Amino acid sequence: MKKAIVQIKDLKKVIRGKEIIKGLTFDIYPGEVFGFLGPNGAGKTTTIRMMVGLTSVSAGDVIIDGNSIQKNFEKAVAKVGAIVENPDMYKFLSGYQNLKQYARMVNATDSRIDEIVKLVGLENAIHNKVKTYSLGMRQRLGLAQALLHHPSVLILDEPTNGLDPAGIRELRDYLRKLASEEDIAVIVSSHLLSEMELMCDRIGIVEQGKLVKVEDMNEFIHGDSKETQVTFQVEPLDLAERHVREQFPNSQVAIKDNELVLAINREEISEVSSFLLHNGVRLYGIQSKAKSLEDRFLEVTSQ
Amino acid sequence: MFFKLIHNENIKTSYRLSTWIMMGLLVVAVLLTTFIGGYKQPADGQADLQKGIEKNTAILNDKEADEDAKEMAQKEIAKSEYLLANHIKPYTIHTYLDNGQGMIVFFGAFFGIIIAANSVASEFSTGTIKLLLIRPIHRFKILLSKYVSALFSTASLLLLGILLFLVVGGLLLGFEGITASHAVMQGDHLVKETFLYTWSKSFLLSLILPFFVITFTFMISTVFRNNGLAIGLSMAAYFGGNIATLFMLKYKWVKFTPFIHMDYLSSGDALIKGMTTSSSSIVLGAYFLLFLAIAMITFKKRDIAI
Repeated sequence: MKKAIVQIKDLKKVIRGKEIIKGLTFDIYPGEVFGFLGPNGAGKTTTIRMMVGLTSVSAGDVIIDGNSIQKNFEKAVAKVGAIVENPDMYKFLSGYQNLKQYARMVNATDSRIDEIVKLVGLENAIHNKVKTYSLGMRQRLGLAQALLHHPSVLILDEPTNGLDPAGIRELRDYLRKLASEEDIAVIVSSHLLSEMELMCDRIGIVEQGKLVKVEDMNEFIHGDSKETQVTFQVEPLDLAERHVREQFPNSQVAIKDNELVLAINREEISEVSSFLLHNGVRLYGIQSKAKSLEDRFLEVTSQ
Repeated sequence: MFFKLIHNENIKTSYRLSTWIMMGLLVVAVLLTTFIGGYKQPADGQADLQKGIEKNTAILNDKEADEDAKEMAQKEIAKSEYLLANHIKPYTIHTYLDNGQGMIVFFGAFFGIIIAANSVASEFSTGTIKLLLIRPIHRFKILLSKYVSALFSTASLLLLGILLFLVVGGLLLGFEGITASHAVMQGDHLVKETFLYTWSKSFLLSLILPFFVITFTFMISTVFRNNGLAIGLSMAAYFGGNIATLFMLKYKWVKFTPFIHMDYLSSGDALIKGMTTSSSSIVLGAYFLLFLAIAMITFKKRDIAI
């Protein structure tokens, strides 16, 4: 196992006597895309704010590459690139002038700016004023300022906001590439669960300031149970249902939209279909439907 | 690194529309006062002085003139005679630049207040404070760079004002008067002094109040993150501070209020007994440090939640 690049240790935030974040502990490793999920108001953004030093830590600590964000802010945050909520830039300056502002603060060269501008695909608009940018262009510029100084940790709060489907896909591919090729730890928070499912290696779910789960994405979705929902298109339906209920009394059987739906594991699919065929049922199609992150997310957070 | 931060702030200021409006207003104001003022360098200054003496002597001899007018006339005569005796030529550009000084200082204060008010508050209102504070730089340095940059910008505008008045005045009334000598009152007698020296000294002293108010604005902008409030309170302090002080003169604690000391340092008028340059400097220095400390501490401790 690699050494963690970000360690969050019993992190707490108290605002006016109310505990908003109630002790989060988890690690993030180089080269992974970590999804930070949770319903609105769960404390995702507050946690991210503490991770970049925008908000003070009430108790616990955030350690980035061995440096505490509280005791050694400059060193810790030097490794971090981030967009917190909206990528708010100076609208009266051009995109390039905005990047120059940040480049001066982290000693990035002009050639690095050019490189990053090309990377996010803003070459044609970079000298226009930011007030003329679309939200998608501002997201790209936000990504550019976050990557200027070759960070080891990239923190993106709702990065797909305002991007069109092509843009979302591009961002996803790009973040995956950053993680795998440059060994950057990418932390993404989002409500868009279908996006997160495609983007993340691991996820952490927060709810009411507590960490509900930190798990590998595949394990989280599929869990221990090997059963999946399998739909059979059969005729006649009632005959098929009766036979199946008799033969497989331990399986869940249901009829949905004139189709027979069974919760069974992989091996049983073949067994059920051959049984149906031998009992005079005509079989037109079989689909097995995997659970989505959304299904599991709602299961976990509604407990 | 710190200079780069100041450079960043200067760029932001120079791209704001309000900066250019202020610059434009200054240029317009200089041109207006110059041409409406009807300034003209006299053909023969010595002869004018002679005529002035005759006119004032007539006032002294006039039995119906009141005492104030006579006193004024007496002073004028003394000055004119001093100028003639010492071969000091009168220049209209001296009057022109003395009048201009007040305008330059006023614009400087106004401009500085607006820049200081926007400097911190606008980063909060536009949300750009987030991307500014996640750089590997202590908040202390960021805030200090904003303060230094606000003072720098104000100084630049003052310099522009000075240059405008010198150039426009010089072109209209001749440049030689700027470095010529004139007579100034020192205690109860007149002395000869280079005009530029006198003018610069009084200019620098009149900057104490703007400097103080701009620092105050900066603190309000940092603490309340609201530029309107910062501009309003600072303008009230700038225009109303001295008047408010007059109402407080009957109280003992008036000696701890700032305006009475600024007035003393810049004009030499002591409104209460026992004022000295060093004690006034200490009181004002304490206010200055207090304002900066309050700004620094609140900025450092603030949770950025926008």
